[in-house]
Amino acid sequence: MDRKLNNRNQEIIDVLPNIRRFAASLTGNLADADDLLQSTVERLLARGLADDVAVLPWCLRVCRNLWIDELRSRKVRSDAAREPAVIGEQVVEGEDQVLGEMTLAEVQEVLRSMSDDQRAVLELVAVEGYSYKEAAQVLEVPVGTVMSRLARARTTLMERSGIAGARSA
Amino acid sequence: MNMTDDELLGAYTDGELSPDEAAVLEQRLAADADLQARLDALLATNDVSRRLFAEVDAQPMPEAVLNMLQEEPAKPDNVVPFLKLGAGRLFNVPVAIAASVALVVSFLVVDMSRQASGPVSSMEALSAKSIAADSALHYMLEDTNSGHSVDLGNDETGEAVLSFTDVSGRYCRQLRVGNTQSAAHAVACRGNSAWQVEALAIADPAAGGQFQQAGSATPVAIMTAVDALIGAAEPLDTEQEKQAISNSWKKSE
Repeated sequence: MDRKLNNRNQEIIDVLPNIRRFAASLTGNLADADDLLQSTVERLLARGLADDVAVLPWCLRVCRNLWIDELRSRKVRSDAAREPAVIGEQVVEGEDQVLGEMTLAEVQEVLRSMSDDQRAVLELVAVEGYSYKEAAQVLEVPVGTVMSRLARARTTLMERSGIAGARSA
Repeated sequence: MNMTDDELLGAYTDGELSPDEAAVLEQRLAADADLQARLDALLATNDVSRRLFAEVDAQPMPEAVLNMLQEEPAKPDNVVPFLKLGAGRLFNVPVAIAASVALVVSFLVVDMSRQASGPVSSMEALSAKSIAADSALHYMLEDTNSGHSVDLGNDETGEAVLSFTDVSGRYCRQLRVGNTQSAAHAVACRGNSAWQVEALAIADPAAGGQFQQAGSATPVAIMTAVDALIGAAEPLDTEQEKQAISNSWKKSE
C-alpha cells in the first residue's frame, strides 16, 4: 500500500488548498483549520488512499470525520470556554481588507453567525463548485439537507452582509 | 421534492434544476420583481462566499503539512515478515549473549533529558511515556498493518514490526522509527485510548556510525522486552491484526 500512497502524495498536494478551505469552513478559524489540515494529511498518509477513489472527496470526508472526532473529544473535555477566532484574524493589522461592502470584522461576525454545517455546505457548493449530490456525499447527508442548509447559509449571509433583497422569499 | 423559493432559487443559481424546472422559474422571475431581486441577492452571496474563503488562501500553507507530503518515498523493501516461532519466547535471546551483545551494539536506553529542541519528531515522541493521540506515530500504530512503512513527517519514516497481546491482556506493537541519521526501536502497548511506550532503544549515531545497520536489526533490549511482555503467546497473524485495527485496538469484552 505504501508505494501507491507515495505516488499519490502529489495528488494530495494538488488539492491541499481545497482541503484547507473546507477545514476552515468546519472550524471557522484558520489556526484550527491548519491543525485539522495537518491531522487530515497525517491520516491520509497513514491509511492511504484506495486506488479507485476520487482524491478530493475522499480527503474531504477524512477531514470531516476527524473534525467530528475533534468536536466529540472537545465536548468530552468540556472545552467550551474558548471562543474560536474566525478566519481572517491573522491578517496584518492596518491592512484595509474589505470584502465587497464588508469590513473584515464584519466578515468574521458573519462567519461566526453561521453553524459549521452551513459554512461547510456553502464552501463546497459556492466556493468549490460541487454539485448538491457531491456535497451530499462528502457531508454524508441527503441532497435535500444540502439544499436546505445552503438556503439557510445564504439567508444568513444576505442578512448579515447587508445584501439587498434580504427579505424571506 | 418540496422546495422553498430560496431553495429553488439557490438550485437555479447552482445549476441544479432541470431545463423544464428552470424554464418555469424563469417565467416567474420575469413576472415577479421581488423574486428577481432575491435571486440577485443570492448570486451576490456566492461572490461574498468566495471572498471569505480567499482569506484562507491568502495565508501561506503550513510548512509542516507540505513537508509531510514532500518526503522521499519510504523504501518498500526491508519489510520484516511475521516471525514464525515455536512455543515460548519470541526471540529466544540467551541471557549471556544478550548481555554481551548489548555491550557491543551501541544502543542507548533513551535519556529523556537529551532530546533536541525544535519540532516534535516521532523519535522524540517515543521518549514520552505516552504517545500523543494526535501524533503521526499514534496514527501509525492505530491504522497501519505491520510491515508497511509510513511517512511520519519531519524526515522520518516508521513501521510497525509486529503486534501481540501481552501477559496482562493489552495489545502491544513492536515498532521502529528512523530518519537519515538515527533509528529507534520500541515496544508500545495500548491503554484505553493511548499507546504507552514500554521499551525504547535508540541507535546512537555518535557511538561509531553503526546506526544504519542497527536501523534494520532489532536491538537486544527490544527483543528482551518483547519476550517479557508476550509470555508464552504468539504474535497476531495478519488477519488478527487487521481485526484489531478495525476495532481500534479495543478488546471485545
